[in-house]
Amino acid sequence: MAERDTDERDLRGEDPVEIANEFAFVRVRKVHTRNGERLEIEAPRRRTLIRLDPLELETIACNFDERLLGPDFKGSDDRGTTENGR
Amino acid sequence: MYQPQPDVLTFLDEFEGALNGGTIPIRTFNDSELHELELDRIFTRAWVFLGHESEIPARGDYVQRRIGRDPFVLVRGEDGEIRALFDTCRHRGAMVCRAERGNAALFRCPYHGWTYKNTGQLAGAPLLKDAYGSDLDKSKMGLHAAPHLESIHGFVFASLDPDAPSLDDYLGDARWHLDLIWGQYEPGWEVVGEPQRTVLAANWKAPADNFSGDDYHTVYLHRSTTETGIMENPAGDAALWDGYHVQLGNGHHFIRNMIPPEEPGPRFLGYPEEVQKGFSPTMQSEEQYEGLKHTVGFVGTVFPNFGFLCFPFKHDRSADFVTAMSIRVFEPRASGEMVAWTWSLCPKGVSEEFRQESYRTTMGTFSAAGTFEQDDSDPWMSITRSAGTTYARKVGMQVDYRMGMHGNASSRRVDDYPGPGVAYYSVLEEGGQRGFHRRWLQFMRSEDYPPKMTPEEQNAGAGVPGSNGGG
Repeated sequence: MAERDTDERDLRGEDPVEIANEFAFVRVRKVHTRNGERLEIEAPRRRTLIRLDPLELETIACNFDERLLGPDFKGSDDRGTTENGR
Repeated sequence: MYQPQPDVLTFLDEFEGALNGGTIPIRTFNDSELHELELDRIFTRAWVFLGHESEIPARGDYVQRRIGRDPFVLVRGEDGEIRALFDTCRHRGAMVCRAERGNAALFRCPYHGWTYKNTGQLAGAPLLKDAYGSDLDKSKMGLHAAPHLESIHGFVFASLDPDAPSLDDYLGDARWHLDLIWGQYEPGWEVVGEPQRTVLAANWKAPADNFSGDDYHTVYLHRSTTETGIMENPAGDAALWDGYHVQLGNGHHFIRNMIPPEEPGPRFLGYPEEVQKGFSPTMQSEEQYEGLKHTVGFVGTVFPNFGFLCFPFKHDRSADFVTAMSIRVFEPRASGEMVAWTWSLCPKGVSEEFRQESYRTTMGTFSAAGTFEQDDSDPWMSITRSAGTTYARKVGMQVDYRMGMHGNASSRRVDDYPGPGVAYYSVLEEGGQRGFHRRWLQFMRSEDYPPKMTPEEQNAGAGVPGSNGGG
């Protein structure tokens, strides 16, 4: 039987792993929606959060490019990344 | 626009004459020409139930659904909006959705790789600049979406006709009844698990007709469930036919079994105390609150192919009564084939134990393995077989829907029904089914969007007591 209705702000997921260095800190975990799964990347210091599906992740893996490092990078073009904006 | 064959138009004229006399040509239950016209004139126009919001709670969650035979993806976009996207790539027409349910931010066509956001917008395509230069305006090449989509209490409906009325107008007095059932429970409702689907060699109208007020069959077809002790009447001594049939306009119908306030029997559909305290007296009218308190069970339909049913049942003879609510769609596949859908709907926030019991009871009654469904699907299939026979067509065979016409039965039109609509008491009459077929006929004959049908118009031809020598 499928899981119970989930509040999107508090998706069920795996234990997070943290990745940090002197420049940035992110917390990453796999989350489960009712019908599928995504990779959640949270940047607590910047109070932002994004949940990427496999095709988006594959695209990042294939096309990684220095442009992604620009300060305005917000994932694909219409995706807000603040917790409130998503 | 699909042009009906002259033979079909003649048939529809004959159908009206027959219906006014209380019969229906059985051919309606299995005829490929009629079916093509149904797809064109009913399923591309009517508001069709697609799913419940609780099936797609997170952004990117989607389920595959059909409107008529056509595939749509019901998806909650990255913007939080729910859409019904036509599952057909704008480039060459291949299907872009590869699973029955899932979560995706992007849908990618397997043929050339055109990729769409879950809002329907074209996100990109391989070699885009080399292949098209500046000729491809991505903003104009999104997936088609159903032009109308609205939700009521989490139930998502869509219409493919730009000229369709609002869902509220379409529902007529069915809206009051949806509010009665699903508009008074504060925590809300949710689907448990996935919908179960069963392919039946039956015409979709056989179950739609059944749900539109066929109480008569319960006395005989489902007798085994009472004989074996699996089912009992939860209302105690009250007869199974003790209830209302209510015509709601626009082809919709409601069967409502109520218990007198002085009787100690079940309250609020027999839900346990933990659920009963979630019903609020202020969310709808007092009439609806008191009305739900004294409702034991119901069977409702929204034209054309959406049904819902709720009663306290036992899933086996040693179990206690557990309230089971099933949501049904009768999906057309061909004139002689359909898919029966069952969702189990449960109040939110209940104990896991009750949730499991209610799910099990729904599936033990109205699903492929359910006692009632196994009873029902056999005649639905054999009606369809009979309707497709050469003999039946040759003699223009009619089937009988006269029960309750002209007041020739114990059932009477009543004016004390606590709600809107044209109501009859008891349920031993077939006006609801005549009303379903009357609305069907109206859709089938209308070249433009058919006008509103009032409950009185839906009940046309019922006659008055004594007008046929009886009553």
